[in-house]
Amino acid sequence: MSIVIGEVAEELRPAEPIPEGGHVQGPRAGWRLALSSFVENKLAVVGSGIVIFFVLFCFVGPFIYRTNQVDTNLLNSFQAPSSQHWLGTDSYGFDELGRIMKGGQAALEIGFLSSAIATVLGTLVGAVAGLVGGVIDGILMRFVDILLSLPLLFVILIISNRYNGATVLSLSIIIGAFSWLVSARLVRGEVLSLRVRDFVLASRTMGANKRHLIYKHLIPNALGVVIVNITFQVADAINLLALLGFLGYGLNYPNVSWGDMLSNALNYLSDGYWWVVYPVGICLVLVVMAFNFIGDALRDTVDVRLRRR
Amino acid sequence: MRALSKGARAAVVVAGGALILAACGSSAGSGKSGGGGPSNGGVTTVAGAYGQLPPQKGTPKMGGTVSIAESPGAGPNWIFPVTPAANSSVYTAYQFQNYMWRPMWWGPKGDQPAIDLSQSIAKAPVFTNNNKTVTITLNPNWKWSDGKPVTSADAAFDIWLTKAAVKISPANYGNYTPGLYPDFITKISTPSPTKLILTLNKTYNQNFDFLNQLGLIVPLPSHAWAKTSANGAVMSQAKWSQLSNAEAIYKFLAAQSKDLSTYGSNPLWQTVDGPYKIKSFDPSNDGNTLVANENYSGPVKPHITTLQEVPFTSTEAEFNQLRSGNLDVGFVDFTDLKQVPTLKADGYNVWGYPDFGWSYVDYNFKDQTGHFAQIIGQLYIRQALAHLQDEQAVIQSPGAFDGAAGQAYGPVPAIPKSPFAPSNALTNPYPFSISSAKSLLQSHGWKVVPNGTTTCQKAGSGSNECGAGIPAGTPLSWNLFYSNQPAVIQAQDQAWASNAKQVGITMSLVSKTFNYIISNYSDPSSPKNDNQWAMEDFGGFTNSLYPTTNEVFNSTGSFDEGGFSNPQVDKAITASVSSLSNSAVQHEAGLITSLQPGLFQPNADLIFAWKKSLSGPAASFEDASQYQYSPEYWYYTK
Repeated sequence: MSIVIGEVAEELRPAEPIPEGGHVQGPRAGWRLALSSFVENKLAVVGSGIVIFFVLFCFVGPFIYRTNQVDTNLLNSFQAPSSQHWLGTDSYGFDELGRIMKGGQAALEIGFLSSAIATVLGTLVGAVAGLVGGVIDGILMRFVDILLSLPLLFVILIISNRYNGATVLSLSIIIGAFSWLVSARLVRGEVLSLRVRDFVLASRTMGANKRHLIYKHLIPNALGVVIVNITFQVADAINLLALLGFLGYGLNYPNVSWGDMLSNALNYLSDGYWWVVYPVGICLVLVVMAFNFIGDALRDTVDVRLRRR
Repeated sequence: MRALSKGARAAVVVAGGALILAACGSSAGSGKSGGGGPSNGGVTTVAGAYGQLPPQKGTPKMGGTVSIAESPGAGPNWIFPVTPAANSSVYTAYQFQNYMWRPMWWGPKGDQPAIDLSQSIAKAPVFTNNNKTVTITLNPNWKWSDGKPVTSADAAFDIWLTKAAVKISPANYGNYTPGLYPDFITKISTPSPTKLILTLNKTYNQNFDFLNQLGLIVPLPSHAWAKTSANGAVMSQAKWSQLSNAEAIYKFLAAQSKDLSTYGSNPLWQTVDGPYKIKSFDPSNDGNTLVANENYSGPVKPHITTLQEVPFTSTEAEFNQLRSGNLDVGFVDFTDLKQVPTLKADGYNVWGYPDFGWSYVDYNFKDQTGHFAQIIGQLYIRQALAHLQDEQAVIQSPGAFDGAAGQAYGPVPAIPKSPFAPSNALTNPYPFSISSAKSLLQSHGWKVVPNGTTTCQKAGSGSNECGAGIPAGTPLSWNLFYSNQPAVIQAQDQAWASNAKQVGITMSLVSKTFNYIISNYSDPSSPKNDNQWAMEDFGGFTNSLYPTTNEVFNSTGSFDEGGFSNPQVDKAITASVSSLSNSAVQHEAGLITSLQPGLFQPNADLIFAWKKSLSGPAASFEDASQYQYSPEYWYYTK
C-alpha cells in the first residue's frame, strides 16, 4: 500500500466554504488601483481627453489643416471666418486656426519642458535636503525661501528684458528655473517622512549610500507627489507664458504663443474681430483647466487616504 | 517752429494716442473714399487724411467748458517756457505752455508745416549782413494780460534766460544744441519796444535761422518775472542783460516751475500773452484747468472760457471716456478705428492727418556682429531693404494703419506737404519689389536662397561683389529691436521681415520697451552696446518747419543713433545750416532719401475726435494733427 502524502483525491476534498459576505479578493497592483481610481474621476477623463485633443490638434493638426504661418500678408488681415479661413485671419493676415495650432505647440512645449526642468531640479533638491538634513537642509530650504519671497513675475520680466530673442528653450529654462521651489518643498516633506520608514532604514543598515537611497527608495516613493505636481506646473507654465506674451515678453516672430496672440488681440477687443480673441482664449482656458483636472484626479489617486477602496 | 525732438515724436508713438491712419486718399492708392475705409466710415478728400473736416457752422456762443484728453503718461509738467530736456515734449510745450505764452512766430498753419504770420507776435525776420544780422519787428498791439505791451525787451529777456539756463547746465534747455540757439547770438539789442536786432556769430541759412532756431524764442514778461524772489524787486533790462543776473532769475523761475502744486496760485504764472491762463493744476496726475485770458490781444478773443485738460493712464481709458461722452476733445488710437462710426453716431467729429515728421527703422553702422556694419554700409543692401517694404500694404491694412497714414520715403514726408520736400519725397524711389531686391543682391555676388539663408558668394569690393569687409559665406542675418508699443510698429516690422525672408534675409525680431531701446541702443550715448544691435525701431522724429536732419544724420549728430556717417550728407547738412541757398535743405532731404540711412516708414495720422456741438474754423482743428491746439477759435453754437 502506498501512502500519498499531501494529496487528496479530488472527490474526497471537502467543498470550499463560501465565507459570509463573499470571497475576499487578493490585493490588486497599486498602479491598477490608481488607474481605476483615476478613470472613475469623470473630470480627470475629460481633462485627459482635452489634453490629448490639444496635443493632436497642435502637433498633428497642421499636417491636415495646412496654412502659411511664416509669411505675413497685411492686406489679408482680419478676414472673417470663411471656408478658406475657418477662424478668419489675424492682424498680420495669418490664418487664425493655424495660428492657434502654432501657438499651442509653443504653449505645450514650454509647459512640458519647463515642468520637466522644474521637476528634476525640485525633486533632486528636495530629496537631498530631506535625506541629508542638518546644515545642508537648512541652506537649501532658506535658499528656497529667498527665491519664493521674490516676485516671480518681476524677476522673469527683468530676465526676459535683459536677454534678447526669447525662444521655446530659453523661456522653458527661465520658467522652469523659477518653478522648482514648490516641488522641492513637497519632495523634501515626503522624504522626511520616508527616510524613517523601515525599508529605508533596512536599506541603510545593509550599507546603501545616500545616492542609492535617493534614487532607489526616496524618489520612487515620492514620485506620486511629483507626478501630481507636474500637471499643475504644466498648467502654471502655460499660464505664465501667456502672461509673458500678454506683457510683450513672449516669443518673437515667426514664433508665437497663445499669450502673444491674446496680447495682440486685446488691441482689437472692441472692434468686432471676435475670432482673434475668443477662440485662442478658450483654448488657453481649456488646456489649463484640463491639466488642473488631471492634477486633482492624480492627487486623489496617489493619496491613499483619498483613494476609494 | 518745432524743434527736432526725439522725445516729442517718440512720446507720441509710445503714448499711442493718436498715431493712427485713416482712409488714404488717392495718392495712397487705397481707393477708400465715399464712405472711407473698411473700418472708418469716413470720407477721404485729402491725401493722407482720415475722414473729412466738417465745415465751420453755427453762431458762436460765448462761454462754455471744453475738456481735452491729455496723452496717457505724457501730461505737462513744466510751466516755465524755458523747458529742461527732461520735461521737454510737444505735450508740455504745445498743449500747455503755448496756451499761456505764445512763441514769437506761430506754427503750424492749419495742418501745414509753415509759419502763420497772422497769428504771430512778430513779422518775418529780415536778414542782412550775410544773414549775420537779424532784425525782428514786433506787433505793437500784442499785450500781456496786465495790459502792458509785449516788447522786444521781453523777447530779449527770453534769450538771456535761455543763455543762463544752458550756462548752468545744457540739460536745462531741451532744444539746446551746443553752438546754435542761443549760443550763436553774440549781441542782442532792442532799439525800440518793437524792434529786436540780433547779431549772429556767423552766416546761417535764413530758413534754418528763422524756422529752426529763432522760432524757439518765446517772449516772456520781463516786467513781472525779472526777479530772484517772489517779493523781490524787478530788475531793469540793463541788469537782467548781465548773464550772472539772468542766471539768478532763471534759478528762481525754474524753482517756481518745479513746484507743480502752486501753478494755479503763483501770481507769476498769471501774467500771460496767450489766450488762456492757468487756474489749477493737480501735481498727482498733471490734470489742469485753464481759464480764458480776458485781455488776450491776439487775433480772436477766446469763446470757450474754461479748458480742462484731463489726464489718463491708458489709451483704452481715454477712449472709454470718449465713448461715454465725457470728453469734448480726445484722440483715437488706430486700434479703435473700427469704432469710429459708433463714435460719430455718439455725436463726435473724427478727423486725422499726419504730422510733419518721420518714422524709421534705424540701421547700426557700427555693429560688427556678423559683419553687419560692412553689410549695411553697402548702398545696394539698403536699397534692397527699401524695396522689401510694402508701404501701401502697411498703410491700407486694418492690421496696421487701416488707411490712416501718408506715404513717406525719407525724412521729409510726402504728407503733409512742405515747401522743402524733395522730388523723391513724393514718389517712392524704391517701390516694393521682391524681385528688385533679389536682383540687387544677386548682382552683387550673393547667393539668394528664398526662405532660406542668403550668403555672400563673391567676396570683394568689385561692382559685382558683396563689398569690402564681407567674407564669402557671410549670411544676411541680424536682429531688429522694436518698441512694443504701439502695435503698429510690430506690424510694420514683422511684415518687412517676412518680405525679407523671401530673399533669404533673416531678421530676428525682438520687442523691447521704448525706453529700453533709446537708453541702450544709441551710438552717441551707449557706444558700448554697438555690437548688440543691428536695427532698431523706436518710432521717429518730429521735424522742425525747416527739416534739416542736422542732429540725426550728421556724423556728429546727437541723435545719430546708428553712427551713420557720410561726407556727402555732412556737406549737404552744412549747406542746409550755413549756406544762403533756399534749396539746400531740399537737396539734403533728397540725398538722404536716396542713401537710405534707415528704412523710412509711412507717416502716421494723428486722429482725434471732438463733439459736434463744438465748432470753429477748419484750421483750428487741422493744427491738432500737428499736436497744436487752438481752442481760442473754438466755440459752442447757439
